[in-house]
Amino acid sequence: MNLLLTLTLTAPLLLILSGLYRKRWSAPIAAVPALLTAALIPADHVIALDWFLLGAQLGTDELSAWMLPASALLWAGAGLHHAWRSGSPAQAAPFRLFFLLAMTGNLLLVLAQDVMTFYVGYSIMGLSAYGLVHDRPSSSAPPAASTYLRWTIAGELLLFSGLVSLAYQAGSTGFSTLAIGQADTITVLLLLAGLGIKIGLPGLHAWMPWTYAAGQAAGSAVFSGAMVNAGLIGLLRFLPLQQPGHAEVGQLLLAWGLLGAFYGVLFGLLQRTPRAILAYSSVSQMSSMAAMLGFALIEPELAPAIIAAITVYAVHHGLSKGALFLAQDDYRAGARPRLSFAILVLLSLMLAGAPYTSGAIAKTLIKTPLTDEYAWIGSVLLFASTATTLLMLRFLFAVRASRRQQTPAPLASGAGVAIVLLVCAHLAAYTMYPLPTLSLHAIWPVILALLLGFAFMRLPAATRAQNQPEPPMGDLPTLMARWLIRRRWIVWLHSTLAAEHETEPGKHHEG
Amino acid sequence: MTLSNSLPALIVASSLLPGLIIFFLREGSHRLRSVLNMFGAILKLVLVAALTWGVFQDDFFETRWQLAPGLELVLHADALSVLFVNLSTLLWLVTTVYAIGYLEHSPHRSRFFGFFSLCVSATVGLALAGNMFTFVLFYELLTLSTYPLVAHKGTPEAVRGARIYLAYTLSGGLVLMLGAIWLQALVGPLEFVEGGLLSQLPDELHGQLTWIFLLLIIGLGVKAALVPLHGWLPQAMVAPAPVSALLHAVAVVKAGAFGIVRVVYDVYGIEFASDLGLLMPLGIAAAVTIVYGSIRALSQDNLKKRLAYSTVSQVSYIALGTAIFGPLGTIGGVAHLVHQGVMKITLFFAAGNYAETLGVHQVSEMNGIGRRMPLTTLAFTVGALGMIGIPPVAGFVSKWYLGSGALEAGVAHWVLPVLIASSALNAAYFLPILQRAWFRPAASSWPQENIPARRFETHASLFLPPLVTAALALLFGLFAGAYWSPVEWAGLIAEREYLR
Repeated sequence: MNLLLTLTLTAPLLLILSGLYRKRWSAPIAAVPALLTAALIPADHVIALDWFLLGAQLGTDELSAWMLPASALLWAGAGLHHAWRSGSPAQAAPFRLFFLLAMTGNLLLVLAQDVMTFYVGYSIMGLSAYGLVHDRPSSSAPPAASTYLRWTIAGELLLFSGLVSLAYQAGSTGFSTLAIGQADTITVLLLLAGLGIKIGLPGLHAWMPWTYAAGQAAGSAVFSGAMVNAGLIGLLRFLPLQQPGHAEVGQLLLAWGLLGAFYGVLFGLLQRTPRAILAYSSVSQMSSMAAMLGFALIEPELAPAIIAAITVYAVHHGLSKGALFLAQDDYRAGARPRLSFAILVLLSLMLAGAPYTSGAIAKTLIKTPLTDEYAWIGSVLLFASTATTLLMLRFLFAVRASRRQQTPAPLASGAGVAIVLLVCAHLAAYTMYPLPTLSLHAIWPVILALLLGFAFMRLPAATRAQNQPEPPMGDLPTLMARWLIRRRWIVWLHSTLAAEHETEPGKHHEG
Repeated sequence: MTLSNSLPALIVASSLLPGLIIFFLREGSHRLRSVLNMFGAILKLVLVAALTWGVFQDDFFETRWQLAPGLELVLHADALSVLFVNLSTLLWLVTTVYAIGYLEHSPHRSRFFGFFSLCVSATVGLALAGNMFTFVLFYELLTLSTYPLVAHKGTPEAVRGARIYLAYTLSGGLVLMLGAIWLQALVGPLEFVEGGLLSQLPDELHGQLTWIFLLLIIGLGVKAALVPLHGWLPQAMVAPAPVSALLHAVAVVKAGAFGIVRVVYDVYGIEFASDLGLLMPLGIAAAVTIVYGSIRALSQDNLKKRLAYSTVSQVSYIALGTAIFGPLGTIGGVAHLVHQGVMKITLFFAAGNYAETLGVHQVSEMNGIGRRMPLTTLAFTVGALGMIGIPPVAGFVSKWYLGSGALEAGVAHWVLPVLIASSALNAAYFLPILQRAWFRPAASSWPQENIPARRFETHASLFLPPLVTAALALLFGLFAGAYWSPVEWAGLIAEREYLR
């Protein structure tokens, strides 16, 4: 057991150190021990390593028993797609190096059972992922990567301050003691801001569309699935969800999340790049989950049910979002276009929460704990589902428009992996919620959205404004940063302080 | 003569004697000089290992000579001195290997290595100093033995840098001496004792003690590069790379920081210093230095200058940790004494390798250097990430303890923002370097390629030392919980400072 656990965390590093990362198959192989761990190790196996860091605890608990399989599947699947699709082994070697490093960090934080180990994994993952964004020497990669890095560093510093205070107030770094300790409001807000950047809460999301649209599809798949869930794991572990006295922060998070559920859709609809649209969909979906976390802070006694629901939602969302990136890559490259488009439609329906899909289960589960007083949240989330359907419709149109007219088609690896992820998402959801209790009423938001979309298509072309310039990725924060960067005092400050005097192309996409 | 009363003296002598012999060697006797150097360095390591084991078991080590009535030369080993002695001994060995490779064909090597050994002897001497008089003596010796090293290249620029260095450090030394004499006049010969002794003095002397503290801290602050006494440090980067490495990581700057730790803990005692209200001003001076150094580092294109301003900032973490009342802050500050040492020496070794191998001195010339010199750049990356405080490199652990210590002492509302600002600034001046080195395409040719790439990217004696120190920086962070880690040892120090 412990050997398998050790191997899970060291396999990617061993592949790097031995130089085997230059082989394209190293990417999926590195995730195999993680898959085995997920399958074989029971849900409460924790080992203490006193000599590692400041005394680390590693292993599985209820949360990681859900998150580890999802993460492992995403890394393995993305790695597989990368191995099939990447060009010459030498050219793609740097990508694999950072892929394996980020994988190590991600698996470490999933298996971490204490604050410091979590932060170490989180930080390794966040920083290594820079190499996934800055992959191709294209014009869009460096500014996207810089944007990503600035936000990531900011997020990690906020999280650091939050975690230091949290651990100090709890008197220990182990997760088991955190639940009892009392955290003050500033600590909770620091944690919320730090982790909010990773899950893309509105206002903190500006890096997300840039990042998802740059680099290889395999990178975007792990970003949107495994890494975004890392932020959620952090929130589930560190927010004082089962303690009374945090209702104000809860209300803030509830409002912030519900706003984000629509904000993401609204700005996503204005985008034309398929991957950016998916990023905005993530903003919307993660915000819905954050809203429910806010509700848990308001009603601590309901927290266990909410945590369980969010866990299933996150697994469903991570797997299907990752699969969307991989299948879209196939379609764009012209690999089995009909099959991959059919899968994209299916995945879009899942995200929209169509009946009998994992999405429907996740959405039902998340609404179950709502009390009468807060029943309105359920209605809001129902509208959010309609909005999501519209956004996915927009995505499918954008995908069709983005297809490259080229043959011969490479192997449809993305679609293949996507099918596996899709099936797994359903398996996960159905273990939580047996089939017969599902009803068809989840169809209404979907039908409403389809009608709206159809009506929109019938509008005269001029009113549809297809040719208007789209807002930049990262929308309001990006625009604000661009506005700021033109202010005289900022320019002065920049020229006085900045070490990098050369202007990089697109350096100031945002601050 | 037993080991318990001779070991401290032997440790100082193990670098002093080879150094004195080296002065008289002919320039051409390369092999004999290297053998002497390495013999001294390794012998010292063995002796220090014995000393460490003894102090860990709470054994007593002390060498005493009566020079005149009331003037005793005392070398005494306690947990704090052992930490610093270990750091300087280990890094001296690595730096000696590096310096032998670095100076292979340059003139005046006997002079260089002679003063180099003197410099290390002085550092170890002041680490082991058991009273104020001994400390000041070695402190001044350090100033004098480092001057020829800074001026070593003999260029007008080097001579100018060395003069500025001498002017600053001699004045600082004078102020320190003044404070020490005043203190001795007040209370007689003063030994360093864990927990301090001054708290037993009558209340009416407290005013004078505050002024003495100010004098001592100003004297030490010059070497520790506290703002506004830091002006010499960026000028001294004209020194050869091994000297800069030693200067920034072990010898001069560290001597100042170590002195501050000594004065606060073992002369005044942390609780007494806190009662006198001396910790807050020290903490503020450290915080200002931390932020100021980082802001200045942002705009330096010269790599060594950027690293120098980074030192200004990072060394004050030690003073900050000292000023935070409580064992956690102490652990953070004292552990950073070692952590900053291994990280910064790595960065200076790497900078030396770039300059020596490719003639690269400016950050703006570093595009794509990671592909040409991957091992050196890997070491540089570890050092830089550690400086920012990114786990699992050692700097992160210092920051964690400083943050926890600030919470413990109830000063988190200003210490945490300083730590965060410093990390953000460190990221702002280190990450662009890493981005250039790894992700940008290289220019068509390097400024001055001296050592062509054959099997390795440069000479083995140049690229191995930074790899070793980078590995240490990584291990000290990864295994911070192991019994041999600097953090654990700092825990031992904190325990003895607060409980005795």
